[in-house]
Amino acid sequence: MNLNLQWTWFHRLGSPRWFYQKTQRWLPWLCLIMLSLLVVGLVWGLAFAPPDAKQGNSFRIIYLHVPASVVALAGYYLMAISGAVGLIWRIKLSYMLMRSAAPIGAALTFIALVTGAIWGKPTWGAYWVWDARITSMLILLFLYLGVMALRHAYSSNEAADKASAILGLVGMVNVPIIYKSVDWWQTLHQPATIKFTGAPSMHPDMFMPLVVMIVGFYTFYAVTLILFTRIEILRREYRASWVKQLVENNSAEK
Amino acid sequence: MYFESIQQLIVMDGHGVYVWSAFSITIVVMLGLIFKPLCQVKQEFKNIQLHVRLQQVNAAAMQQKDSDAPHS
Repeated sequence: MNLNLQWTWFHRLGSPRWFYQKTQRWLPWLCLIMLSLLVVGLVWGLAFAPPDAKQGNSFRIIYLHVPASVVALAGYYLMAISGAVGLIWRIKLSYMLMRSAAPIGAALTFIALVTGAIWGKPTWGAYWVWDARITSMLILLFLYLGVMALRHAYSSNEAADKASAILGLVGMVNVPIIYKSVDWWQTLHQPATIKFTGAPSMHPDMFMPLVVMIVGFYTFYAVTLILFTRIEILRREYRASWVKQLVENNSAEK
Repeated sequence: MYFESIQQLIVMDGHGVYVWSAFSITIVVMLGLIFKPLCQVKQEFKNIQLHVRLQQVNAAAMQQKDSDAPHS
């Protein structure tokens, strides 16, 4: 009995209906927090932070490049873990989260690569270098695209989910390689600005807007993941009575 | 503000073209990620509505067929 009670929250968390209804209430607040953080972070970073002594104003690209990279990498863990949860416990919602995380992660990796390339031109004199960090980030983009493409490779959702989850888990080996690439190889890419251990290699005037932007990007990730997952729920649960009721209520309101 | 004028903020000592193009691409991709699902919601609702109507029409047709069939 006690064991049943302990697991109730876990199953409720995995219910698409619970997720859809709860996120309806969370979304406006999350959007508000996201907008405030991104506006404050961008204005602070682009207009108020001092320029870098060596790189000048081109360094301001850091306020877009680093948050996008950090969240693209964290998003990969989320996608792979959701896939693993789906494989182990067969929870429908975790597969839906995995599916939704793929295009968002791909877009963020794309932002990280493009802003990095633009930053590379004034700093290194080249848009693209086959450097360990950049190449491993490009592999991350292909992994995300692979998970997206697998959806269309199978006629059944179930088979596509399993294949995507396995690809996601196998690809997880790339994430620590990306993190450590700047330490393991002699690369053109600069070492990590923010470290888990030790102080950041930046002045607080430059570092604080970066922290605001990273938190802003995480909130953005949460908002988009919720929006994409809600679509996935509608697509997969269209036969459920609560979805039909929801659609009827929506059309009656209009 | 670090810059003395808006003009300086735009030019950024010659680095403005890099910073603002990176900024524009990021904003466009981020807006796309927000608006894509928002547009899809409407389409999904329409699809589900169509599915419900089809079910209702089918059910009505089946009922009609049953009542029309001669009773043995």
